[in-house]
Amino acid sequence: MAADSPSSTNLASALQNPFEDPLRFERRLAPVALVIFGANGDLTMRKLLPALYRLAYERRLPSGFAVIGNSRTALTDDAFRQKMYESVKQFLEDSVFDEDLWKEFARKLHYIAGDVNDPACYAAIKTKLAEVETEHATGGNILYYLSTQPSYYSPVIEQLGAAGLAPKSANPIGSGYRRLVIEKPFGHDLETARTLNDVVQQVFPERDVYRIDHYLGKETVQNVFAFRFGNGIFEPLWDRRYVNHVQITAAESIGVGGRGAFYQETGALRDMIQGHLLQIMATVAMEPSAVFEPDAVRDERAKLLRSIRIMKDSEVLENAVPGQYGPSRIGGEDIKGFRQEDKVSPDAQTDTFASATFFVDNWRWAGVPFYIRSGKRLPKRVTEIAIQFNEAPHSVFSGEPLGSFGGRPNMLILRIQPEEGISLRFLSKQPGTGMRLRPVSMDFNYGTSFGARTPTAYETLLVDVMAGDSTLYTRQDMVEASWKVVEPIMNVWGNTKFDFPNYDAGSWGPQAAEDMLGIHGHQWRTP
Amino acid sequence: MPTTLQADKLLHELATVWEELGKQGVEDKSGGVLRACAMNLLVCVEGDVDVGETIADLMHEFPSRVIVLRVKKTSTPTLEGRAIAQCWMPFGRRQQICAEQIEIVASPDTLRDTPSVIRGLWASELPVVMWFRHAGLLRYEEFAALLPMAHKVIVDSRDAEDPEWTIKQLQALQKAGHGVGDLAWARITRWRESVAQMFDHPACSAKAGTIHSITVTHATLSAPTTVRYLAEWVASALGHEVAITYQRLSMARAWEIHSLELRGEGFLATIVRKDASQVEIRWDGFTGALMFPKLTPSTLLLEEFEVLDRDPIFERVLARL
Repeated sequence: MAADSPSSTNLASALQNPFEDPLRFERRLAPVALVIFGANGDLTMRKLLPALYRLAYERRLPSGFAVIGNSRTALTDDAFRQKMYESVKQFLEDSVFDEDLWKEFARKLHYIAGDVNDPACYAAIKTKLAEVETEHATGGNILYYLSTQPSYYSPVIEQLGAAGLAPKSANPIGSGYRRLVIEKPFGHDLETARTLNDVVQQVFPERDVYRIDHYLGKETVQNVFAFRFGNGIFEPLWDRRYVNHVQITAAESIGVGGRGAFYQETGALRDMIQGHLLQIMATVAMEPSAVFEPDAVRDERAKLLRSIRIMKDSEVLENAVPGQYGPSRIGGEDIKGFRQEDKVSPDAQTDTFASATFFVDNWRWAGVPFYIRSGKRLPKRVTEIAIQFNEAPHSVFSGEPLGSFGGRPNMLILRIQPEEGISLRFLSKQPGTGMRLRPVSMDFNYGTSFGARTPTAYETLLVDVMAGDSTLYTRQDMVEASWKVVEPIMNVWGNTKFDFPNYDAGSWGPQAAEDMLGIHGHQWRTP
Repeated sequence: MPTTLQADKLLHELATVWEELGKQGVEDKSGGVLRACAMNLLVCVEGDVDVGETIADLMHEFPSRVIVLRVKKTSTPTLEGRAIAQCWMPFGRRQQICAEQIEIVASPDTLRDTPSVIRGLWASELPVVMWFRHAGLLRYEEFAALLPMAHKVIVDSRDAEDPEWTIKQLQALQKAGHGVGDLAWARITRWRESVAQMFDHPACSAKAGTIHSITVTHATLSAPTTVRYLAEWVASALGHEVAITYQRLSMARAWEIHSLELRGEGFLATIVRKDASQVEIRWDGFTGALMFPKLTPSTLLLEEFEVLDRDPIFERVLARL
């Protein structure tokens, strides 16, 4: 960041606060006004406002703070507050609701109704920003959060620029930082990702753009850094000599619900593998950065993403398997197949399940398969990374049964949801005479080991963006690198007619996904 | 009454407790218990005062090997001990988590025999924290033998019978190189955080250099250590000469610390307690409210456990008292 930029000035003044006590207080945040576009939408109500309320509860929000919500629906400030009151109460995770705190928090919520394509909407936002700066002492800092449909991203960004509300505007208003948070998807493919980025870069410099991937905000994903680079005992094992393969699973038990029309155009490959799981893979496989600073970490992650081998068209069907769930009966309930869902075409070729085998072309990982799968209507909601270590070079217990783990008992499992934690599986002698071996696991569980409540991903990421820390946010080169990885798969799948549905709702996906691992002598683990 | 006690015997008793819990877990197919230990905590307490609830709360977040040393005046010399486990079932889990506790009861005349026992009871490789629930126990010179092992010695000067003496003890321990903590200091963390939050605003921090007077209003007859800590902390953070005034409020519903007022050139900032859970902050026409959580001995201790290394800001303020 340039030394004379508004952001750095603001940060410097915060750092000069003589009353700081980093041992006792949480990281201080500079005052800010948060403008949410799409404030009447699901994301705002289910995730953003509950996260902000919880941050207020934890005293993490700056005292100078205000929210300006925007959407087309006509609402007064009070009506908006009432709506948010109901959604915060409903969607607050693992936390108590305090009415007194709400009263104080609600005072900071404001609303501007308006069409994001209409310049008058931005004039009204500008006026409101001036008001809240006086009323709530927001210090001139503004954070824009795009929580709208992706098709509105470009118009909102352009209008912010035209209205003088962005850093690269011709006549930008006021001082202080201007940051932009964009929710995924960042484009629909490589070309549209670049087009969107061109629009963004016209108005916001890259350092002020925060592309949010909420998976990266989860404690266990962050803990991968601590686990790998804070300890001396794991990193020496973290390469092709010791790791046999890696499995990354993101399973959902629910179907597409009311989002059939949207999902039909997206699919699991775009939605999950490009959007989240490649970033997780990069975090697991990246080289250690010299320092734990945003660009240093993101450089390494980007480097890893660029090292993933791009599949040739002829390799795709062997290394990437799509699936689509068909109707089934689960727990006495009839479950619709994807094609029977509302607003879904009866011959849709959408992948509700996607799996792929990736290889990383570098010295550390050459020849180690990374298997990734994600799907809807799988048996349970679970996201985890499983690192399978090689067998011992020579087994002295060759006559002893090793159970279903064969000769490879050692596995490290990083659980991301629902119960965040880490497990290490190894063999132990079963008590008694004789040398009988039994797999046991050492478990670390966030909830029980630290007792304290784990912040939600949105709490973590909102604090980070207010603090100007982009470590857990995605950079444009990372977005482009991940699109480059999945685009050949998208193209081949798009030109192939699959015999869908190919898995029953409630199963672990199509047989072909099992066969994909079978080629390498592996099998999917059951999470 | 028994007057001999051996660390090995207590550790054996502890091992038996774990074996029993393990068997029970196999019988009821609950998967056994998870033995958790992140720290050694020596709790020094006088008489029959109950610290069970506080320890149970602490164990949920800081599962530790707890040694409760109860100093009790008895008609005949006493030195006895027992081992127990503190278990709880986390919500939604089948496996209990247990932390271990050893309770030693000693009469003043057998106290000299306890350091050698306690030395054998520490879980190795883990930090040692000593919490003097009754600061007056620091008078016993027998504890001097244990102090070098402690990463931190914690007292509560506000609730001590003799706060001045307790502060002097803390200062002496600090000078001798021990890590020290005072729950009275942890009590004002939210006040201090509110001040810091005010001064996050550039318009407010720009005035910090002009502040010339600090006024703290409080409820009690003489200013408790919490009040003095707060004023001295503000003064030391400002780094220039300021006048400090302590004012007792005679109103019926005053709080231990009722308000903090900072005056500078053309500047007035106040933080006023509104009720048990809220303060109001004001400066330059800006008004806001902040929530204060309920404080319990366990929340205060947990804060101290989070700072096991030296705490330079506290030590700086302690030296000013």
